[in-house]
Amino acid sequence: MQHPDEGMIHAWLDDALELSEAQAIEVHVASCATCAAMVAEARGLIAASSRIVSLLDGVPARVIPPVARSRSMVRTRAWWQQPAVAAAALFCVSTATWVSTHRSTGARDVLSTATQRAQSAETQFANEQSVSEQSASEPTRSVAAVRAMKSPVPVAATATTTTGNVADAAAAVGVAREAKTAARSSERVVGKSAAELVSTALATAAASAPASAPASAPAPPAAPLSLLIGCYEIMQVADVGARRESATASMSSSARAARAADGASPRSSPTAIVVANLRRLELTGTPDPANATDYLGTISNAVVSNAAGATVRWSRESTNHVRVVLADGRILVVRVVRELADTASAMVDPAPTPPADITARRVSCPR
Amino acid sequence: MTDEELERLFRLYHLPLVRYLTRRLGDRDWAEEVAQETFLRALRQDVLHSERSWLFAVATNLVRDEARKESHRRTRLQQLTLEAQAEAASDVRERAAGLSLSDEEPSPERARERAMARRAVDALAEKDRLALLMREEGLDYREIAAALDLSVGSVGTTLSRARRRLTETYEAMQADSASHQGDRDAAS
Repeated sequence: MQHPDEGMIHAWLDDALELSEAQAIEVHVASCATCAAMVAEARGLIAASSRIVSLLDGVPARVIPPVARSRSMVRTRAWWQQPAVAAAALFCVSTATWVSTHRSTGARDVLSTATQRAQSAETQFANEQSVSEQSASEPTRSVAAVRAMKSPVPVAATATTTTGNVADAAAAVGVAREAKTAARSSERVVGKSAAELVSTALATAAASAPASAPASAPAPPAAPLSLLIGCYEIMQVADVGARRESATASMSSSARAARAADGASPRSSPTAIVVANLRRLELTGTPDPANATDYLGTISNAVVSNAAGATVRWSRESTNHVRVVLADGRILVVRVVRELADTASAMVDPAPTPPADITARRVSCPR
Repeated sequence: MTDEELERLFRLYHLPLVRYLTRRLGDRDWAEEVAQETFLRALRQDVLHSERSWLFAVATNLVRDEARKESHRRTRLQQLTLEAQAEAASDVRERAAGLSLSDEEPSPERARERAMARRAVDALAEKDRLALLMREEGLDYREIAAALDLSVGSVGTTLSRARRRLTETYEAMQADSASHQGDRDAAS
């Protein structure tokens, strides 16, 4: 086989070639030092460009993205603000006043009519509340917005009888505040990543509706943000073996120092691996949307070396945090509390086959 | 397209689409707007073949159209100006109240890195940039080719060129920044 060109190597690394082509390249690279060097360089370029692109994710403005409505977050209006109930109450009061002042022979009939009207009004309110709750259970406000744009019925007419824009805004603000609180809480433990956590938490809120779960699967309940943001120990339960030994053996002095400072003892479990150096995880199996420890997506902010093998400057907050897109579309910021290596070469797969299974375990954050 | 179909599309692709657009535009609000418009157009379609590449292609075209509208730019600039003024006023108020905003502000180092990343990405050729951003959102080569009207065989070359240029540009900026910093340190 001729030497593959750079584009072909990238296609191979991106798993975009036919099986026969991929196998041919694999065999060739194994026996050609020049091409092996090109592959290593291409891996570095892929990792570095991914890291650079991920730097664009921090949006400077204080933007509150659309959020999924949560029933608990939908602010219900006080009874006097509900038109139907208010009208019923007003009618009852005025009727009672009229009855007490006139005390005519037909007063009971009038009072009975008033009561019936009040009940009717309450029923109407209950129906409206039902519509309101149905609306609140929609996956996201944005979907509702798209629907509203589609619908020929004026949106305002609906909004006045359902939860409405005010409730939307309240829900958005509520989620944003909750996200900020959670991020600040994490910040106390983790260090300097509050802004990143806030933006990610907001993105989590925006995506709290299941995003990539199969359409037929039941939607899993979205975990509160406070449960999602925290410290996790990420473990790999398969496909570790010799690579773990390799990772541990090539641990840099800084990683050793960090680990010593962390008080970590040598890992006894054979399932522990480095995640700080994994750029992309794409599980090939079917993720279980109901299981929060199954991940599917991209781990970013985890690249520590460039094409030439030189260490790119990374702050601890970057190398210690990974962002995981959950199977249901939510984004999880996790802090890697056990770092076994920080050299990219330690975890470069010889073949572009992703790990078979990744799990994470929530742990208490070190103080 | 039915409402159920729309919901399914939305659940699957809203987040990656908005992230792609945010990276492309540098403006979350604008990205949300374009994403909304994209889903609205999807709603008008009876059937979508290769839905992910369709959505990304439509979003990309919408951005292109939007960018041509001078009025939108003016509005955005006005909005940015107002936001900057509001932020400045907010900063003054909070600092006057003895509160620090440093928890939420990116470090100068991080802000500089972000600015360099933006410049490096913007320096790429349009096709290279879009292919790279789409790939980062997980589109495969066929989808990228369909969205950008490329041949599948050329996507690898496009991506390799984009990645190399982006990395080299960014590293050159870093080196330049480091040398300026060194000069400043020496001068002080």
